[in-house]
Amino acid sequence: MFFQARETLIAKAQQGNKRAWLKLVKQHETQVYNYCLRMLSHPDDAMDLMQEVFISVYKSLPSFRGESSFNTWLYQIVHRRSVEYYRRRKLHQSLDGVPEESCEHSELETNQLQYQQHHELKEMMNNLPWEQRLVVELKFFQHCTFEEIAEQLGISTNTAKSRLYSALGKLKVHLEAVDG
Amino acid sequence: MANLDSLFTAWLEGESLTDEQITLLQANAEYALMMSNAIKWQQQSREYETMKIPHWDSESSMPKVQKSHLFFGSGMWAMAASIALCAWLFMSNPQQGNQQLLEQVAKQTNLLESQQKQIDQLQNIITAQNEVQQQQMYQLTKEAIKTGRVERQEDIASVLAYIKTQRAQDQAYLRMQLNDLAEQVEGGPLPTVANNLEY
Repeated sequence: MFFQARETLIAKAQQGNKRAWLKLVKQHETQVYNYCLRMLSHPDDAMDLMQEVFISVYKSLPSFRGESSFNTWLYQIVHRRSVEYYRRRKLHQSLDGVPEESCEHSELETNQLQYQQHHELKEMMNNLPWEQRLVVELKFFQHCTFEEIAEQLGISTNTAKSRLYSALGKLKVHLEAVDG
Repeated sequence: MANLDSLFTAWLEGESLTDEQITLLQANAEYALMMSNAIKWQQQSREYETMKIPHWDSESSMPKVQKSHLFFGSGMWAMAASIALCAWLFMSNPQQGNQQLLEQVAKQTNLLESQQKQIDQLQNIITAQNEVQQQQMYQLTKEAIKTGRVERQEDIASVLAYIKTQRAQDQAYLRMQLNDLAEQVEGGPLPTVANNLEY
């Protein structure tokens, strides 16, 4: 049997099965990494955060009871860790002041168009406060409903909505400033 | 306005709106702008190309702490093995076990005694070193104070010598002035002298 159901993998990983855990990681690493990359805009930071997330998930795995889907549970941990990471990072230096990623870490330069798209997205994301960034990520990249956003972030649906509206308003101001 | 808000929320949630409802939203400047910005985000999301993850050691996500309660640490194994060995020796042959234990204890005692001696010697050396260092520090401080005092005395002496020289020069100058005056008085016309005498 080559493919195992996710539930089976989770159950095995909970019992300490290393192979099952590594398979679970493999299944989610790209998604988590890209989430981290969009939120932090820097490959090294994204990598650090992803590792922290998986360590945290591994430690909390025995307490996963399947009350929500694994993805929801995983992303709750991702949000918590990312907020902690962002706060910690902010103490040392402003994220906006982080230097551009170096060539060796980035494969973006191989495709100029792709680079421009990522650069534009980075600019748009960096223009938003962290809370609004989270809502935008969940709404437009994770395609969550307002209720799901509220559940994941532990806020009310109205707060989720108002944060998204503010983010959309901020984008307007930012684009106007860019366009001159 | 509340109607527009619910329409906009429905649109954001992916519900399909009628042309009339969309026109209604676009007629309002605020909602029209938010719609257009939301479309920009949706476009970013559609065009986003998933980045390939750099090589990383996924096993590093398994901290070793988890394993510690499953297995003993190596120290624990060593201790358990030595206890088991002692117990086995004692149980298999109590006489021989006792003898061996006594020998071992004697060896350990000797070792401890020699270590204690070494510690004492080191302690003595350290104490002696401390005394020497303290004396040296005292001498150094005394020397520094003495040097300072001598330097100050020399400075004061040079100032006094300077003042004395200055005073001698001033006195010589005054003497010269007085002599000039005296000469002027002696060589001056008589009426002036007479006038002066009136006082």
